Amino acid sequence: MSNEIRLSARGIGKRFAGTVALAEVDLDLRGGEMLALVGANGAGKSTFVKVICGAVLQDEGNISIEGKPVAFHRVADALAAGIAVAHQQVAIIPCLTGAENIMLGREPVRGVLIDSAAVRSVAKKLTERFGVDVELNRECEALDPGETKILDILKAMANDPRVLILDEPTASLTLTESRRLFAFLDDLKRHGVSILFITHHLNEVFEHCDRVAVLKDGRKVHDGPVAALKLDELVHIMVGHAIEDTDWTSHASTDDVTVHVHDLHMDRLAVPELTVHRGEVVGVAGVLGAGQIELLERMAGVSHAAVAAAARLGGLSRLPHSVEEAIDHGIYLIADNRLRKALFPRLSMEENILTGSLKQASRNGFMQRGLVLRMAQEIIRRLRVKCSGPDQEVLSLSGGNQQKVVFGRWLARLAHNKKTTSPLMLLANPTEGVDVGSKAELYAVVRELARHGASVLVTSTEFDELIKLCDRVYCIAHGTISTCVPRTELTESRLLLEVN
Amino acid sequence: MKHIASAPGVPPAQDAAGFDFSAAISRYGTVGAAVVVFVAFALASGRFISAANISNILVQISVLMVTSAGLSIAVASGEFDLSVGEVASLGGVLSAGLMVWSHLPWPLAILAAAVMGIVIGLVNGLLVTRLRIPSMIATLAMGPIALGANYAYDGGDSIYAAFPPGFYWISTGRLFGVVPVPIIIALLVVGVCYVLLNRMRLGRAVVATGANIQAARLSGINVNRSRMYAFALSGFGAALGGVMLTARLGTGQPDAGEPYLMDSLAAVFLGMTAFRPGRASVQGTLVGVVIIGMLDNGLNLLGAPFYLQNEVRGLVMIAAVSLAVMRSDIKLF
Repeated sequence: MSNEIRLSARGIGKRFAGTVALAEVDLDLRGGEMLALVGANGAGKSTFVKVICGAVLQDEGNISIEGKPVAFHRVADALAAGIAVAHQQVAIIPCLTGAENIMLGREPVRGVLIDSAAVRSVAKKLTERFGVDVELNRECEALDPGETKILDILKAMANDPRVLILDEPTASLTLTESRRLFAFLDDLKRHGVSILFITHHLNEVFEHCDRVAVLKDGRKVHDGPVAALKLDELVHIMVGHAIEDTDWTSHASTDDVTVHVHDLHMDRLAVPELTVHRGEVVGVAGVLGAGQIELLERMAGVSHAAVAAAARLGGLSRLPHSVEEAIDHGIYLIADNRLRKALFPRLSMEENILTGSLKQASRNGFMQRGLVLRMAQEIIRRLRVKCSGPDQEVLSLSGGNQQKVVFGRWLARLAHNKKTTSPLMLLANPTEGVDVGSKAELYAVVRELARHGASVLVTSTEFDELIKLCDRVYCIAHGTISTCVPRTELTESRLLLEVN
Repeated sequence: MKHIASAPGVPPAQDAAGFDFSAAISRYGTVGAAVVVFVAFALASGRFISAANISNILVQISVLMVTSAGLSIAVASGEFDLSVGEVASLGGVLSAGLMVWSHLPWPLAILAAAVMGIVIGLVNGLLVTRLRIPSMIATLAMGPIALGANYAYDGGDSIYAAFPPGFYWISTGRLFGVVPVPIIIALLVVGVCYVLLNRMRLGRAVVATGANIQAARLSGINVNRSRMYAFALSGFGAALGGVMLTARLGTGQPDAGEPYLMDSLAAVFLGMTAFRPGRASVQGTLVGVVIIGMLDNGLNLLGAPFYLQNEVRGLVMIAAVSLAVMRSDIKLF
């Protein structure tokens, strides 16, 4: 009974504002099977999951469950049809007990009161059924991330779903915690649950999944048993053709080391050695959440807990203690997640650009209006920002133009800085959610900065971007920066191999 | 991408073809509402638009304008100051007591009250920036503390006595024999706050902090310093308003400032619906203060029962906040 087709998607297509997110995707999921869904960022994995779990309605195609066609208009429809999702972010409330979390929103009641004994016994039955041993009667604060994840999946299992979708379940887990999670998932499989497993960790695909489907640019480009593939073959399928780059030249100085970090230990990442030369663009590659963002933020003074055995960043002979100190020494961070960390969405373009140069654009505490306006107009011209003028609210700009404003904040400051020391630019996912055209323009800006002697350290979830920009790329594997791949050897498959 | 309102790369239509009606409504709707209120009362009561009454309204709202201007800066920095009412009361009785009991010259008494307001503001700032208490709670707790100090100072009784004649000048004086001094003070405060928020480095830092504290920090702005200044200015405005109130009432009343918390908040929220929706600004608050002042005065002239003013106050507050929230993603907690 476990080999019938449980979930079947046929010809799924979805467009967002003219761009194709999914096209003609067919996917079958059998009973008791763990199917890995992999693909680069933007390949359409998350859109596919959203369609399957009812969060997004497909434009084309049909879904059927056990042969019966279904139409999901809301998440509740998919839930009722037996499809449960455990999202990357766990939905466990720390101040409730394990049992209370599992039964949250469907607590058995006696009259108007929650029947606590029944909550406990139903939750207990669930854990016994799947043979997991997690503490149910204490508050979840004390659980480690692995146990919390298991509890989160148990919560999804409480509705007795036939299909379980796991979105990057191991993203924030240690190796031991992951092992325990997989033992639990194997048990679920034995109970006939079908699992759709989304991951960036390709080794997990080979160790635990039965079948793997690859999405690329919204289309399914591969679907077959894991046993028939090797890691490098899978990587090749994911990446497809090599991307040629035409106008790349190195501006790196060979002897002028501007950044040197030695023996830095952070929560998730150890950095034995990291150097950047004047005019050099250096990448940091890792799977999602490997600590690369934290490294850049540490170097920009955002956090200042971790200490390095030795460090030199430009004119600073240690890691900065604060963002202000970093900026004073010419260390500028382009933060990831621009709407949360970089932009003032409700302020105008001019105001957004201005915040990086309050001192440069003022005299005796008063802003110099003419200078401020000129700075904004220079940025609009230089970066070709499409806007109605410096007054336009930055939230109403497109993603690419918003990101240009983020770059513009520091470019304006660099253009009006009295000090002439060459800067260190730290770029965290610098083209996140940016269209192809603006991407190319921002790459040109980065190269221009390097040509003028800036040192650049960049991290990106898109390895293609690192290949386009970098002189060399440090790779994070197993929580440490282990190898450094020179430009001549930079390929997407090489990077994927190094970080897995 | 759900929060990006307009189509990518396409600037909102506001040029060439001419007039973007919804944008104009969103920017000037509140000003329009003020005009509607004005016209309605003018039609309902002939006395409303007499020069004497208009001057009267402006004098009445001058205290509220001063306290609300300070509060606008706190709200612009992303924080609340719920201690303004009690700080105003304390400022009022402190200046009265210093003149009557300690025989201090009136300028010194005003200065002392202002310093008291700044100190309380700085304590509020420390509670928020150092102890990381949400400002709504820290300043809510500061209210009764200021009230306790107030009662300790005056025993809970009003301070009745003749103040130095110069002191009354700030309430009844007229510049060039025409313009009432309290109006001048209020306009001065509005002007200074406007320049501070829009033309000065400190003000830009305050606005950036309120717009996105994390992005401000990553831009190298000292967000704690901006918030300290904002609280200090809020306390200063409240104390100064309290002093003006004492000059107008002719007595130092221990609970005179209390209603100003509610009215100042309503004025700031109303102001957040004007000009740049969702942002606290002094020019917006000015509009809010004028609306509240006209409602108070107009209802009085029409002989509305006293309790109706309370109802209207509450309704204005609800309308202001719902409009402010509807037009943008401001968070009140």
